[in-house]
Amino acid sequence: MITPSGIRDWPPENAWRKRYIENILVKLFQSWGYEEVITGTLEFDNVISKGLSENEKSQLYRFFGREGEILTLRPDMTTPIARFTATHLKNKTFPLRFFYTGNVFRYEKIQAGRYREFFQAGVELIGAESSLADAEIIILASRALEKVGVKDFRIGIGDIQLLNLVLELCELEYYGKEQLRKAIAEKDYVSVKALINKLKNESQSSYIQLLEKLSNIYGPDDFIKEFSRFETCLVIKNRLTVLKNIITLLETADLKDRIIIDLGITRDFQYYTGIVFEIYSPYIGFPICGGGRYDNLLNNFGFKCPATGFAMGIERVLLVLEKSGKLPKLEYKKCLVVGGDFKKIFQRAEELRSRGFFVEVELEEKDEKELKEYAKSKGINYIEVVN
Amino acid sequence: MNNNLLTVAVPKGKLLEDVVDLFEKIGFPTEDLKQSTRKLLLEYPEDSLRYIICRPTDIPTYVEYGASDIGIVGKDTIEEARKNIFELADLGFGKCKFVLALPEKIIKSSEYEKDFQKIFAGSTHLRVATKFPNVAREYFDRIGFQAEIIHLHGNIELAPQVGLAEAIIDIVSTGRTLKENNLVAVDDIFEATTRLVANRVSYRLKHKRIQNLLENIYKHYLEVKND
Repeated sequence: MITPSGIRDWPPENAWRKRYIENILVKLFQSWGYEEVITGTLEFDNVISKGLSENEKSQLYRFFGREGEILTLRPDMTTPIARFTATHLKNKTFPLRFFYTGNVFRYEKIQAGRYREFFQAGVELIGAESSLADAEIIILASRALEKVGVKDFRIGIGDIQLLNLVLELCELEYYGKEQLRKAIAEKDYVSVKALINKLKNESQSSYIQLLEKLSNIYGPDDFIKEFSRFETCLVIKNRLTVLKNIITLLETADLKDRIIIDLGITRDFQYYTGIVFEIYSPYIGFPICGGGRYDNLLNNFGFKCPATGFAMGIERVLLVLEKSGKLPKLEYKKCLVVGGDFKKIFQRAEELRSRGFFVEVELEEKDEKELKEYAKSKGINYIEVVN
Repeated sequence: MNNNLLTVAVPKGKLLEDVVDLFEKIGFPTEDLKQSTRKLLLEYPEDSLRYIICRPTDIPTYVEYGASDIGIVGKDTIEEARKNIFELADLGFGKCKFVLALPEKIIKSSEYEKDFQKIFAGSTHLRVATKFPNVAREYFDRIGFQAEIIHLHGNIELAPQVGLAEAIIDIVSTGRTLKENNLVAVDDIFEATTRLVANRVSYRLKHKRIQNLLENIYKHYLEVKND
């Protein structure tokens, strides 16, 4: 039987690599004080659809439940965890630090390392408003990539609040603002440039200059230099302070060289409200990790609470590791215990297992030659005969 | 991995001549492009540069996946492909437009001239042949008219003549093909020119190099042309 389009099977060597990476991530997340949460694969459509754009909704797998309700397969883990927190965990002590690993579903064009069912590992930091929280998330994502063996990555940071502020300050009429926002989100810099040129003729606002800067990208120092000229405006100054704090904290974490500031980063999900980021590797043409602040999402479920988080694409991480020659190698010792007496075989196998070996016992009566061939094809390093 | 290597997807076919002209003005190698070699991959290690020569319709895919850092491709192809790529500059050449066209005889025998919505208002079905089903669907959705879209891969003009469709949506640059096949454009959908596009990761990781290239294009090509 074949599988539905975009759904794949994981043979043992790939499944082993996936679990190996997830184990490293889980250990790391726990060591930062994050606790695992698990939510169901199926959600009500009206839960998931909150905070999604029309285009994002069109990528949902939807179907009717037995009672006519519309169900959807989760397209990410952030909304389910926000729902869970807002409806069941309100009385906990905040901030909450949650992590997860799991499969998500998006009915989208099949891209590099992204199937229609794919796996994510990530964290949510709920109930913390400060720029320290934004920095913690970015640093943790970076540490996670370092731990699993991804080198040479860069962190692109954007700020949806600053973007919105600039659009507000330019006093564009509604239509122009939405056109511009759309062009920035779609990375259509041809339209962005054309729209800005048009606005220059129409608007007297001195912030049009600032708009032009939005479609550029900067190293952290250049960014601060370029934008500090606009600090006379208090609201801009406040946002810049947030970005500066984050840059300082990332510098402390030895990540400053990896930062790119790009206010054109708006992420795919519409629920983001503040600092957003994506992590890039030169080995693939898609971000391997992304996240940011979503301060309004929990309010959709009746609980006003700031939050931030990230998700990492497990398949994409594996692709980067493969292309950079850093795929984890199976390093455990395998043995096969054979002999005439089953009781002794099982006893010896248990002993070896308790010493950390991966032990199979012989179940059929193979001759010596067959045993050797079997061991070779299974990567078994060592055959022990007990009599 | 060479982080400086810039891979450029170059369209073969009718845009190539303009691409050669552009490359000459910005100091990119063009010798191999001018010769009609069959090579699909041209490498210039001394410039950390590489061209991949591909079909225009494939360029958005190469760029989206990052197999190519940047590419040169028509807005018509970009609109149809719907890939997640960055559009960096309008290069101005390869101008064409999407039109809806009908057979001349339908227009002549109708009292509504070019108003196709009225022409087909009473009919049960409008079938439209096109190489650009996404563009066509979006167009009909926008104007609120229902049509059946028939996806063909070439020689769209044939479809109305043999009764496969009543109308076509295609790109025209001079309008000659339409005329030769007794078709008349009744609605302009949008105009398209060639764009410089970039992969979203390359654009950020190779930003300095791409930004320099962009500045060169403005300085030595676009601004010169507009004078």
